[in-house]
Amino acid sequence: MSNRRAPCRCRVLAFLPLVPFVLLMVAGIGYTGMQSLGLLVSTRSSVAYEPGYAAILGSAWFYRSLFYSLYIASVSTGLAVILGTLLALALRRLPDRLFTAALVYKVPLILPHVVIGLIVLLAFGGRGLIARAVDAISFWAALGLTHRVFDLLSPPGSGALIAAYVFKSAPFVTLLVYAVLRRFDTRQTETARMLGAGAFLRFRCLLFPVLWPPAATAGVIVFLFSFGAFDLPFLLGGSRPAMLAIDVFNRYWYRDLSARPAAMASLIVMLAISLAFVIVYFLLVRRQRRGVRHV
Amino acid sequence: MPPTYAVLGVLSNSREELVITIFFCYLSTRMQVSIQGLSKSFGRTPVLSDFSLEVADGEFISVLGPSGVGKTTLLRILAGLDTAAAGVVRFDGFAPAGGNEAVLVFQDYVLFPFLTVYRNVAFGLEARRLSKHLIADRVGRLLSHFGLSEQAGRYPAQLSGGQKQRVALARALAVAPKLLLLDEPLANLDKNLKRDTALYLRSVQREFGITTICVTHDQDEAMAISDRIAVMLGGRIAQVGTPQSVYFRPVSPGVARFMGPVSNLPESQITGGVIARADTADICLLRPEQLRVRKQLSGAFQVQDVRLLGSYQLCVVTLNGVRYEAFTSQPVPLQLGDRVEFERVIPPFEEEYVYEASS
Repeated sequence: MSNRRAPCRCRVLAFLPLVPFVLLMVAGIGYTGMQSLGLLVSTRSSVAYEPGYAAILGSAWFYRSLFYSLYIASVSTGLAVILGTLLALALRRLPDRLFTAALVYKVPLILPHVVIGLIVLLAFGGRGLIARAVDAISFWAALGLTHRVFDLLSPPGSGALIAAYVFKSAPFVTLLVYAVLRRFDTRQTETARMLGAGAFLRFRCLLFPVLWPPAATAGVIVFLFSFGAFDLPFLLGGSRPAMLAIDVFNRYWYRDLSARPAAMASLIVMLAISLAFVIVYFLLVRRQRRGVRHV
Repeated sequence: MPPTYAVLGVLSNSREELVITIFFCYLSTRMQVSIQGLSKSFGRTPVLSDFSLEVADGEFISVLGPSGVGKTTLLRILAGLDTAAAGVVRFDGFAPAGGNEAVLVFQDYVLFPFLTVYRNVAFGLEARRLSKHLIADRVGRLLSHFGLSEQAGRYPAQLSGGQKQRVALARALAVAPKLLLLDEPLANLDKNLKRDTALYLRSVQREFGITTICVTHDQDEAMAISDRIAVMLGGRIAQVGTPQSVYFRPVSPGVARFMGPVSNLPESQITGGVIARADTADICLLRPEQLRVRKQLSGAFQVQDVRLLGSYQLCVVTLNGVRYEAFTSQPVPLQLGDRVEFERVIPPFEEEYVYEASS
């Protein structure tokens, strides 16, 4: 009898470390949801406010912020995944003696986001290093290429924000993709070559199925981070439109209590979009992995 | 035209199929391989040194040697995956053209894990951009020939070891290479499956009539599947010959010992001939099949230990205080301290070989 109960008890105990995490998450989301509905907005009074959804869903400003956030997150994720994967492929071909030196690619991973933002600011800003260097060369000036051309901080391109995200995220993609690539049996490509396959067929049939799951996983994480991040947009981004996180911040802190439900409703919308994104990703990965295991 | 390719290609009912059939028949012409003075080193470690070998059209030859002797390196050079530091490889008298004349089947098959069995076999044909109809036709016949039709939709991870090997063979033969290279083809199979697979490999090679070079460290495997065996010791060929000649007429004690158990006994105490002499004077080497042990009170040898090692018996004996090991294929009940004598016998198949050699 006791033998039967023991595994069940063990299973329950195994979940114990998760409890604080789950409680915090459920409480946080629940509280945000309540505030988005105009409830529990202030701890000092029991005044109920208007739900925030009507305010944000009827606002063109919100949609501009939302699409701007999606645009920044998509472009920076796409670039980070492409560059990170290419870097991983290049690392795989590197001779062993150069590999230690190549680990420098991990440096952006350990730098705080603020530092990355400042590096981009100093390098790509209107008065940054690149702009000054361009100004110093009269040849470029003769062609009409002034530092303004290289000012990535100017909207609408928001190049600085994208550059900062890519600089920070591409090494993360490399890390995940390279870990999988190291286990890839290069004799597969040798066999394909013996059978007469060209580079494209080898990539499509052999390398791509190996690359895409870690690249997609890294892409999802990078996308969700870029989509909801606050620090880099605060440092490098504009305010017309602003990234959604900045918009939420402004509504929450710089307006009166009646704006808080709208701020919280924005957060709930962000959460819903993130969840939808993750679900679609898992469905795609599960479909691709079905029936296939490594030999 | 090799018989199986004829069968696979004869049902051509369109102009395109006819052209492709002729193309494959041309490709599948057997090939003579000449390897002269091949050398290769990894860093300062020489792997192949002055390796030479001639392989006839349609021949199945096994390169047999201990692990790390450079066998796989040899196959990689022949397959065009590696380059030799020195030496010449010629296919039908010409330098390899790099046109996929040789296909190497790796020891663990290296099937493409994300492709089904069908697509694995079709891979080389897809690479050649043949029409879907033709690929389906050809792959269908190959799968049927290798007994894999029911597994066509499965992935490599869902197959047994034997099935994986057949897929790897079908994939290689689908592109009709002139030279098939097999790297330890039976190493991943259990003992019972090895013999059947060896016979199967041999029959497939005969049906497709393809020149085949196989490398292995397993003597039984090499003898079971080969027309000839090239024993490779120390990065170069020590002896080339039929399985019988290499086994019963080794050119050196090294080859004799590598090819299987040999007894080291003083020649003066043995009646009959010897297969090879050891470096030490008066010591001869005999196969278990060539030696018979008999309990005899007046025997010169005294038994120190007896063990049954599968298909043969090991007797550790002493003579004048010197220790000898004797392997016999016919187990005899012996006790420690028994006096024994050894007699050389000629097995029937060796008589045949001696007759063939002398004629």
